[in-house]
Amino acid sequence: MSPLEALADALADPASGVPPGLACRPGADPAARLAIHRRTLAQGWQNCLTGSYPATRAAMGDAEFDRCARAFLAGPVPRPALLRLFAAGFPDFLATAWPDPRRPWLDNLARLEWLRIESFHAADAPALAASAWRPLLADPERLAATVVTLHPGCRWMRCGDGAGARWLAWQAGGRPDAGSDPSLPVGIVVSRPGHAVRVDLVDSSTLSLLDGLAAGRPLAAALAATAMPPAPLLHDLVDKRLASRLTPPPCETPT
Amino acid sequence: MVAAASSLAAGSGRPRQALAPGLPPVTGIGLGLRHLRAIQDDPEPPALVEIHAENWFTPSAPLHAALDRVRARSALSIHGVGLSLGGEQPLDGAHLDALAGLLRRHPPLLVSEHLAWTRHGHSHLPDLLPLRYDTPTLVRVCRHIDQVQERLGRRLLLENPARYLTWRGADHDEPGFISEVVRRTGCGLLLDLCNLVVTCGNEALDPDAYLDALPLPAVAEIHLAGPAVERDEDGGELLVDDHGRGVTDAVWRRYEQVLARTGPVPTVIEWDNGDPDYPAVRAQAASAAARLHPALPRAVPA
Repeated sequence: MSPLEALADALADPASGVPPGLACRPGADPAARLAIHRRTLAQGWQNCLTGSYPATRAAMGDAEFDRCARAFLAGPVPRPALLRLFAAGFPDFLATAWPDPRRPWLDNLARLEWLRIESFHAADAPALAASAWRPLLADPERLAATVVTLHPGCRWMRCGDGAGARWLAWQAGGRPDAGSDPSLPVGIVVSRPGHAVRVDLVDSSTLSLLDGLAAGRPLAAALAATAMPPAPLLHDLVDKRLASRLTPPPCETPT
Repeated sequence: MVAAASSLAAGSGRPRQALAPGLPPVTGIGLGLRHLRAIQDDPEPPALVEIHAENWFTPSAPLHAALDRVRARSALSIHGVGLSLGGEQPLDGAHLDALAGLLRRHPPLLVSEHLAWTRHGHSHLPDLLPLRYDTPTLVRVCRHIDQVQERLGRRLLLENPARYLTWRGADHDEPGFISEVVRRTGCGLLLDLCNLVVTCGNEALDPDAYLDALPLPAVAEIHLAGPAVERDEDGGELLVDDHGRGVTDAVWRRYEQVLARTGPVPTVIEWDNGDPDYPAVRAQAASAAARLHPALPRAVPA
């Protein structure tokens, strides 16, 4: 084992001593110096979690969130080159290793926060405004056969536990762990129509439409699969600027 | 935008000219994402902003558009924290490609990385870990810097580390090692004066001798920050480079001392922990400018 490998192993194991060959000035304790590196690493990863999941932290309280974060750090978590990606597995960790019967919606709240990060960092593409749809809306046959490419920043999730409403309440200055209205829609759409990420609650039929479009189905087929009237679904698609490209069938040319 | 001041001689992998004389005597701040809005709203933004490269390895249009707006009024320094120049593994080609892409998207005045290692296997460690200053490490660091400079087509600045531990079995002391890297690769030096104060304080080194042994003509950028003061087992000061406060008096004094020897050098305030207000960080850059500009006449090439 090389000296650097020995140091990496010692950093990963708090019970481990100072690797042979590492020293510091007389009178100082190399173990205390090594602890500075352990602390810096832990802070870097913990700050990443704190910055990624502010609503989840608000719901849990700082002390519990920090305990949970430390437990997450202690596990076999991938440590990717881009620090922000380190936080990706935290919602699943909450669901599997930190279940909380008082807040069964907690992992979905965290998932929503991660979707917002994904949306923000998604590739650039136009978020089509209503004007881009207008020519097709005037030609229902072509519209039906149009393939709609969703914006790269478009994300969605289903959750019947009110996580979306809780996040919106937190965003508005409230507490995410306050009660949630069970009559609110169960769908959450995250989008990036401009430079800001937006969160909307939608009916599950809108999510079915997005599932169909993401699978490459033409618009009419994706709408039909929802078994719902198409007008409000189309309105969601257009109004929230969830599409980045419309690919209608070629126009038939007279022979 | 301010044009890059150095270029590589064709095929040589070595810079054609000294760096410092061509660089504008500007001061600025490390730009964390928390201050991205504030700096765009600032009627007189700092002349220089430094970003951590890896924070911008993203296709995110909102982020890049914001940086475009920042760059329209300030020169840019791109500061890497994750290349692991001292690591035993080969450089991560994808990481280097991403860095090259960032430089194409946002052409900077300065590009820098650390004399440290940050990667072990598939794990990336968000800390700057110490190297043993022996011949194999020297060869490895130089090979990696050559590779980076070749890929980027420009000179890299190497930052001296803040250290808490020292590897036994070294062939060089730290400034000697840095000097040899600079000599072999033609890279420049990012002189972090907080790191110098931290390392010399923690390892009971003479900071004047340390400075004397560094290749000061290669200094093309200076970092300023204020270390945290903790206590060692014997009650002695243990300095920690945590970027958690403004520049301390000891670091300001070193800055004035170095400027008297180097002439004006682009300078960046590093204060990105502890949730500092933008105006407070901005004021530190103004304090650095007040110290930098009296030295200006010495920097005018004959």
